[in-house]
Amino acid sequence: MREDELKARVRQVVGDTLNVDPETVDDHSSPQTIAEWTSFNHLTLMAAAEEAFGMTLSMEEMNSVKSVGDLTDLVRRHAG
Amino acid sequence: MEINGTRREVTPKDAELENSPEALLRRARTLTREGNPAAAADLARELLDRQPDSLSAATELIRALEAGGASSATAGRGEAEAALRRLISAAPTPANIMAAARFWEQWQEDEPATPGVRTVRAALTGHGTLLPLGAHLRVACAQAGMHPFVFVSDFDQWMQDLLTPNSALYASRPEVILLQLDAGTLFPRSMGEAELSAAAFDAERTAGLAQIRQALAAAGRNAPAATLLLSTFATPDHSPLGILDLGGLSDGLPGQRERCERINADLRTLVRAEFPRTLLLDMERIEARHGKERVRDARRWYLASIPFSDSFLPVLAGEYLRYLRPLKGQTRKCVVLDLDNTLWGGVIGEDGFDQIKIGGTAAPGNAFRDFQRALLALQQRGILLAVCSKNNPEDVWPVFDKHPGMVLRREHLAAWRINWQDKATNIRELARDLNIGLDSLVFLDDNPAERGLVRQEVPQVLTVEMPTDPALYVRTLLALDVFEVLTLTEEDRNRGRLYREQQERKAFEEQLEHAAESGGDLTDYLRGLQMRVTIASATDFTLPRIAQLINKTNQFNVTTRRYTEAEVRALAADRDHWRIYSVHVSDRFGDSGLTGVAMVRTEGEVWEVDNFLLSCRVLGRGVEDALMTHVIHEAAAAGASRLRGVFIKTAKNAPAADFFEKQGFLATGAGEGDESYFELALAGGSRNNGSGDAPTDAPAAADRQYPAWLAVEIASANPEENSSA
Repeated sequence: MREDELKARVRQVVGDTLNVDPETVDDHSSPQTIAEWTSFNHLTLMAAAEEAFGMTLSMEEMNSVKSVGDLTDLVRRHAG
Repeated sequence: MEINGTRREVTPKDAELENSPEALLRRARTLTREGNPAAAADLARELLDRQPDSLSAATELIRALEAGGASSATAGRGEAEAALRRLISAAPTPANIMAAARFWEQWQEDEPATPGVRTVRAALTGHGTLLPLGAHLRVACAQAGMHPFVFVSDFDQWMQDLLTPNSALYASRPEVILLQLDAGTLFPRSMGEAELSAAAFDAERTAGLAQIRQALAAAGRNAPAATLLLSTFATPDHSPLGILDLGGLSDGLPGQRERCERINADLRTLVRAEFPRTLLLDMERIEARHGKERVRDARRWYLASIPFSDSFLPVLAGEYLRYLRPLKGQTRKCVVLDLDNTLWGGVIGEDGFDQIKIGGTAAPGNAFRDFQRALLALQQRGILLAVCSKNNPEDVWPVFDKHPGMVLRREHLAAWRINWQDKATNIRELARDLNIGLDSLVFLDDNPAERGLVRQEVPQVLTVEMPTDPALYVRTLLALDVFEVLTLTEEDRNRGRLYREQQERKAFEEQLEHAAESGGDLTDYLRGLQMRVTIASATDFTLPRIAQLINKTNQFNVTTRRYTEAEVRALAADRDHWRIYSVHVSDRFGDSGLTGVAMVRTEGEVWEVDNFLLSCRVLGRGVEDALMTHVIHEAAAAGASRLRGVFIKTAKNAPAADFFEKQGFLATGAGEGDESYFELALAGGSRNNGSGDAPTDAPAAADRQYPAWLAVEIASANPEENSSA
C-alpha cells in the first residue's frame, strides 16, 4: 500500500469510528483533540482498525496507541 | 479532441479517479461544508447504491441530511434511519454496528421517523462495561423494526442503579430491565478455586443470591411496570480442577460445574417463588451454542472490563431481542407451508403415496420427520400451521390422514389452500380466512421461484430463505426468532382447535346464508350459535392473556395503545383511575376463550375508553356490543355523565373505524394526526342532547340492553374476589 493511501485509509477509519470529518484528522490527532475519542471508543477504534487492515493487535499494542500517528505506525508494522 | 484550439483529454484513468468512492466522498464532504447538503446527499446516495456496505457513504449521507435539517419530523430522518438499516443488513461488522449505534443513540429521544415503527425502552445493567452490548442491542432493535431507547449503566453500577429509587436507570423509564451478571465476579471462589469447602461455597452462594434478591426486589418496587430479564450463569470454559471437576474430589465436594449448576438452580427457585414475573435468559445454552472460547475477548476484558467478544455481542443482543419482540407485539402467528420437498421429500402428484420420503430411519425421510416435529412444537406453542401447495387435494389428504411416517396430521392445520392458483393470492386468502394480518405470516417453501413471487407480491409476509439441504431445515426454523411467547396461555395451547372450530362456524354461516337467500336473517345464525359471553374485571389469572391481546391485536383495536403485562397489572390495581374488563366467549362449536378487552380511564364525571379491542375471530357477533354495554352500565352506575372514546387510525385497524358511531357515540372532532374523538352522554348526565341528529338511544344509554342472542354473565366487579383463588 502506498504511504499516502495508507494514511488516507487510517484517517477514514478514524473519521467513521469517531464520527469526525476525516479531512480534519492528521497524525497528531489524539484523544486530546477529538472529543469522541474516549477510553471506551478507543477500543472500538482498535476493533475497527483490526477489521479494516486485517490484523490482530495485542493488549500492549492497543494500549500504546496515543495518536493517529501511532495507529498508522502500527498498521505499517503489521502490513510489513 | 480539439475545440477552438484548446486541447483537453479525458483519459479513462482520470474518469475512474474522479468517480472513485474516495473522490465522491471528498466532494460530498466539501459540498456539505459549503452549504449545499442536498447535492452532497445526492452524491452519497449514488455511492450507497454502488456500495451498500460502505459505512463512509452512509455516514456522509446522514451528515448531509442532518446539515439539511433532518429531524424526526422530516423525511430526511426517515431516509437516514433507512440508510443505517440497509448498511447493517449489507454488512453487520462490529465497526458498522458501533457507528450505527451512535446515531441511534443520538436519535433515541426522538419519535421514530419510520412509519409503523414503535419505540422500545430498555435499560441494561450488570457487571463490567456494558456499553458495547448496549450498542449492539440498539442496532438489533433497529434492525427488527423498532426505535431503540437504551439506557446503559456505568461500569459495575448495577446495585446502585437498581437500589436508588431516582437513579438515572429508573429516570429512563424502561419497559424492560436487562440484568447481565458475571459469575466470576459475583462468585469468584466458586468459579475459580480448585477445592472449596462446603461452608465457603455456601457462604459465597448465599451472599451472591441475597444480592440478586435485593436488586430484583428493588426493581419491582422502583419500576413496577417494567419487565425484568435476568441472565443466568454459564459454566466457564475450563475448570480449575481439570479432569477432577465431575466428582473427582475424594471428600465429595462439588466441582466447579456442580457449583455453577447449584447457583443457577437456587436462582430459578428464588425467581419462581418471589419474582414470578422476572424472565430468565439461559446463558449456558447461548454461550455453548456460540462456543465458550469465543464468548470472551481477554484483551478487552483486561483493558476495559468488557465481558464479551465482538463475535458474541450480536448473538447476545439477538437473544435479548427474542424477549423484546413479544413484549412489543412483534411476533408472527402463523407458518404457511409448502408440501412437496418442504414437508416431505419428493412430489406426491408424481411419486405417489408410497414413494414420497417421510419418516423412517433413512435420509431424507428422517430429516423431514424432524422438521415436522419442530413445526408441531410451534403449533403446541400456539403458532398456527397452514398449507399452501400446488397439488390435487385428493393426492394430499391421504398423506395427512394415513401415511405412517407423517408427524403432522390434518387436525394440526388451521387452514389450507391446495390448488393450482398462484401462491401470493392463496396466501392473501389464507390471511383472510384466519383473520390475521399478512405481517403475521411466515412462508416456508423449498422453491426459490415461489419465494421470489411471494416476496414481491406480499412483502409483509416473512419469506424464509430455505436451505437446499433438508438436513438444515430444522436449524433454519429454530433460528427464526419471531415465534416467541412470554407466557403460554390456555388460548395459545388451544389455538389450532379454536381455528378449526372457526371453520365449522363458517360452514354453518354459509348454510344460513343459503337460508337467508330464501328468506331467513342473520339473527337466526347468531341465535343458532348459542353464544355465551362472560364479562369480568381483570384478575391475576386473566392478566397475562389480557396483556397478550393488548399487544397483538391489530385490526379491531380502537387505539392500538400497547401496555406490557406489568403495566396492565399496575393499572388494574389503580381502581381509582382505571377499569379493565375482559370478555370470554363460547358457543356451540367450542370455547373461543378470552378474546376482548376494554380499558377505561375514570376521571370523575368523565370516563374515557383508553383501549377497546377484540380478537377478529369473534368480531361481528355482538360481543363488542355486549362489552361496550357493560362499560356503559358501569360508568352510569358510578355516576359518570359522559363516556369518551378516541379512535386512532393505523394501517390495520379499519375494522374498528366506525365502532364508536355504531355504538351511538357522537363524533366530537378530529385531533392531531390520526385521532378522532367521540362522546356518549349517559342518562342523568348534564350534556345537552338537543341536537336533531343525536342518536336516539343516547339519553337512555344506561338502560342499554345486551344483544338478545347472547347469554351474558357478569363476573364480580371486584378483582380481589376473583383473584383470591
